[in-house]
Amino acid sequence: MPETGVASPESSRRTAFDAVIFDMDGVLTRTATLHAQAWKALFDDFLRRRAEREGEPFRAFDAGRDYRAYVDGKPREEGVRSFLRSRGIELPEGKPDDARDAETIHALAARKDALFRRLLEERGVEVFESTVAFIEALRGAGARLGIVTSSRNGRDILARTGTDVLFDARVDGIDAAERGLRGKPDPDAFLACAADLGVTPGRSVVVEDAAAGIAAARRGGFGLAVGVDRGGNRLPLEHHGAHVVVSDLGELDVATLERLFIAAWKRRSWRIEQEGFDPAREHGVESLFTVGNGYLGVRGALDTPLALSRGDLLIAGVYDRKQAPYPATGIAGGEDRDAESDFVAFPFPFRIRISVLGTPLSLEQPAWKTHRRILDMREGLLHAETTYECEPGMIVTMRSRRCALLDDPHVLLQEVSLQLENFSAPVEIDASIAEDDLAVRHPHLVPVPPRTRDPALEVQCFRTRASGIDACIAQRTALAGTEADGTEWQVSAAIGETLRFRRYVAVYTSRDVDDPEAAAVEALRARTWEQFDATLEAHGQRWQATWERADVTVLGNPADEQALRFLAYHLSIAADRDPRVSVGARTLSGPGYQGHVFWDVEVFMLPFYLHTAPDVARCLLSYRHHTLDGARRRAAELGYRGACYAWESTVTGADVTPRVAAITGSGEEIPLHTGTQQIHVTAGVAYAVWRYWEATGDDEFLRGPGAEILAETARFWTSRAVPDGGAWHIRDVMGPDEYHHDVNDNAYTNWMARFNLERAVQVSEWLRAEDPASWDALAARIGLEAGEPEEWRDVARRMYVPAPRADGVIEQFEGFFDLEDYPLEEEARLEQPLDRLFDLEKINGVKLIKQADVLMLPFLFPQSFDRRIVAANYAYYEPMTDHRSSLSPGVHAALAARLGLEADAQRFWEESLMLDLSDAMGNSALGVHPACMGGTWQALVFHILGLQFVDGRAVVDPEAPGRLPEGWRAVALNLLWRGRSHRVEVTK
Amino acid sequence: MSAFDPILVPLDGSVIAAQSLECAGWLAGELRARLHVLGAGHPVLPPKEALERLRVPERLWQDVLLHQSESIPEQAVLDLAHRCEAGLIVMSARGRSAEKGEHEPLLGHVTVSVIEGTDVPVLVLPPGYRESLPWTKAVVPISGESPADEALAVAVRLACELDLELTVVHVVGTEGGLAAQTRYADALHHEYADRLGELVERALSDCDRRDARRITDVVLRRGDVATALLETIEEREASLVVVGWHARFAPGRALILKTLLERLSCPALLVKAPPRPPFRLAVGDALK
Repeated sequence: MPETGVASPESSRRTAFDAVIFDMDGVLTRTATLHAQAWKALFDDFLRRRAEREGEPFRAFDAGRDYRAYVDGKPREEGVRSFLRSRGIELPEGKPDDARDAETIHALAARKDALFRRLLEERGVEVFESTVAFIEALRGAGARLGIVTSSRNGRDILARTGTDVLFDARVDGIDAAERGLRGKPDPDAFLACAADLGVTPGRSVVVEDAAAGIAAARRGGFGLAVGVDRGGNRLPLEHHGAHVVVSDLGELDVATLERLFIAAWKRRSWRIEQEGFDPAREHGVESLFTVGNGYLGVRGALDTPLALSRGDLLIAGVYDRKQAPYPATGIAGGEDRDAESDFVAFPFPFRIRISVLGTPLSLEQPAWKTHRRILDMREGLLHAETTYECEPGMIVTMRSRRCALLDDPHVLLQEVSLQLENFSAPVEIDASIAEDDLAVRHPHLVPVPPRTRDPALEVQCFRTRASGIDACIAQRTALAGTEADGTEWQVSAAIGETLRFRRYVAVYTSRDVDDPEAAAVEALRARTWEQFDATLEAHGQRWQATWERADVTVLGNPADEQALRFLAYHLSIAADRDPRVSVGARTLSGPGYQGHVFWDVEVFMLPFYLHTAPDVARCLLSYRHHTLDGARRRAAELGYRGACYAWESTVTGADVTPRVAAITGSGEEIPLHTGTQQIHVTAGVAYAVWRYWEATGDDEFLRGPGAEILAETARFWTSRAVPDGGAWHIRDVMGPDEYHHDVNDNAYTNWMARFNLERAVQVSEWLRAEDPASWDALAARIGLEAGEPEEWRDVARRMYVPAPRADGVIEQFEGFFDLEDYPLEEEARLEQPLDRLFDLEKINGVKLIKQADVLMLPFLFPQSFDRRIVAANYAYYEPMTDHRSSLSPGVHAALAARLGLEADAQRFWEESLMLDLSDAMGNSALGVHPACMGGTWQALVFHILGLQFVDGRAVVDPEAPGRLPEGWRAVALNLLWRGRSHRVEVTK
Repeated sequence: MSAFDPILVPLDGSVIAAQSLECAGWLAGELRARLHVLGAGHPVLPPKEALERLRVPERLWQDVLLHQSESIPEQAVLDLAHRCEAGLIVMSARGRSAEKGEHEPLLGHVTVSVIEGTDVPVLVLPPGYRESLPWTKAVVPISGESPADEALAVAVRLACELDLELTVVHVVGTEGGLAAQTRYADALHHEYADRLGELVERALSDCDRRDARRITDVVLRRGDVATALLETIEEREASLVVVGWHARFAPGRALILKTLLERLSCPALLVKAPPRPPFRLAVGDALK
């Protein structure tokens, strides 16, 4: 197996990292003591005078605690501001040339500098010999070396100690002022030093003794942050993100540092890490940080949610009639004909309210100092860590982790720990998850009084308004060290003490059991707090098993490796093993598309499940079997035989696509043709049935549900197609390209329908020959007449599928070549505003397409088209595509890679791979895009690697190494095929 | 206490500038806000003379805090706004130079300097201003850009305090501007509708849900952005439009705002985006 993530050293480098950047004071030199003494002399003098003047008690500057908390590592003016703020003292800024005795920020900073220089002259500077030895070892190992200090005396001190020659780049306080670099904890100085060294932060190490410096290293994205604790500073260093803390650099050698760096690097591509907090990004982050298990998903809202938080709990298969959104959204979907057309959002089950000294711990309060959330994909856990300063100098750290169990998908776990770092205080905790504003936030739910009377449990019951589904969300919560389980505590926390809060949540609906409340209560009572850690550990092991099947390791590009894990994580938590449900367009990570199921599942996502979790793939197809009656009714409503799957489907298979979009501003009604015309979804389901059988050899499925789906869909096509001129045609449809409606003989639709018919014929022949009893039973059950398979064969044989013209281009539909050109510059094509969605008739008449349409064919059937044809169609269609759908870039990445169009391949690969992580569509707030994820996965496996299974073996295209995306040196993954795991490794 | 307290009204002695006093006085009364009046760029006069020179009606004398400054007016306004922690600045689009008949662009240079230089919301009375008090309705355009988010948040706060109905409008433009520029807005009835909802939700992030009830409707329009906004303002008989902007009034910038100010008869409350807080997601290039 190839080494993951970290590229091998290049010839000019001999370490895993490229550079190490050192802080000076306290790491290299012992000037920290001098600084602390200078600060103390300054502030004590100032505070004493002020106390005498104001008649206040004098409280001295603490050269340990105050130094570390407020001034260490900061430019001196910022140090003055920071410390005085902690004492509630405001001084005017003043100017650099203020008189020395003035009471301004600048004057105090200048006095401190004078005091420091005097101490420097008197005592000289010592260096830490262990640091010098370590630096020399690093130099000998080939690392580049830099030094950063906020001190304006930096160069002078380095020269005095003779250590300036050890470094390739130096940034001191004077450089910072000249270059406009902000002080720590902003990362500017470290980033400037890295730039001077010609290295990237991710491949560099920072060594720091100040918490602000560690925070700067983390904000700057440095690969490893090493904290040096000379005494009493370990916790702040760790809390600000140090990967490792040592007491002295003598504890490290080059090999150890490399190991730490590689370990941190590897961890990074298993994690999605967020630093800081931006309310405008929060809904998007919540989608990315969803935890789930296919039965349910909980968006990654803060443990202490804000008014803006949208911490919905979504349960697969729970829908209700659409409620009028508030505020109205400007577009209404017309009459809602279905009681199960909208995804139901349940209240956030991880809410906790904590107050320390009466101050609520919230990211709304200015009291928070640092915030970090980490989605640990390897363990299936969401971590958060926030530090607060409740009162000046009083630091509280809150850490949490949560998960949705894979082993028992009805159960959620959460742990929150709270530590008062340097003070003791009363703490209030309220862990109730009762939603205050249920009617507004969860309009589908009617509260139902619970029967359970148990002070150890909080039980909430609901019923959905129109679909009448009963649901229970119950929780059991405990604060370690207190006697009884409960939801509210008032405790006194001692300095340094950690309060540990734990929560089990159980979720059941009447879709799962007859009595969801009883089931939830029983599930909670069956769990003990002693099991909590072991349960989390077992959960991690379950994820390990998932990753053994689903992981893709990439050598040389950790960002791509991380993004591939991100898509595998989300696809893995999107589906479970309930045959009554499928994956909504935005999974269980958000309310987008109202949880409706589209062709996305069978055509884009299914291959991922086929080769990593075929039992899940079977369940997804069973959903289509389960909704076959709905598809039959739909075909009949449209005037056809057989089964026509809904373009947008929820529970019964009825089509829940609105017929119009009503624009509230103008009263305009825009017809929506997708519901009635995108009938290709029906052939997509049949295609998936066949792919499933090919990958698994599951004859039992094919004999039963598979054959029934194929037969009923084939029936539909024979009635939907019309004979004309000796061929069968399919008219008045919409292909994947939604810019053109009422078109005839869409190449994709007709090809897929023919495929559907051919496979139905093949299965009918197989069954009649191999298992006539099953065939007869099926025929009897669905009223199949003897001649129907022959009819399928005839329609398939004579189905009109546009052939490539002389130059190889396949016409997207009848008359496409005659449409008006839509001449647009490259940039305008991609950046045009959204009115194309409104001007349907205008767009219907021009050569502008929304997403891959003809190109879907070589994407799904790569072996059926030679290179010339693929190249001709790519060259013809891509320039007229505006890629308005998230399904488009993956298809184009795949084909461009096959064709050797490196720039296009890379561009579309990055767009598709990073779609949610970069929020390219601007709407990841509504949930992630699983079809795009599935398309990306297919682009890699079937096109970049060109993988086929031949004679039971996984065979990679010999051209694959040349197609690997930028930076990739090797890739490895496992794929399941016919019950066996196949290892695939490709090296560039 | 009102989020818009205190209110600062810069005056230059012109009739045009003094028009803003009626509106500002009404606002101060409704919001229970203090009213600071500033005369700048003129030798300091005794208070009574100063108030007369600035054309402050006598009935308001007891209610205003008078400030005078000999500094250049734009700097004096910005300094005072900072010093008194103004919650709102009310000023006319133009002042004395327009009154003198001097060639004057759409906004006078003091107004431009103030709206560009301050972080405080500025209520600008456009050249075509027609007084209509009390206010009852306001229109707020949203676009997905952060100034527009902030404008809606400010508008909701103001609507709560003044009992206003809010119409939120999103215009699908032909030339960018306030139109959302998203690369993949897929199905009209799903992503576009949901995205509009998300734009409103996001802008209301720090509002109480009950406050958000001030939004009576969200309107989607198409066409030229400024024209569509003006039509909405007229249809709704709005007393006010609250606009987020990027604080650059230079030639070629703020084209929609300029068109609005040219054609509006109601005041425009201009709102800037607050600075973005530190945020980093360690993915993609940030991971590399």
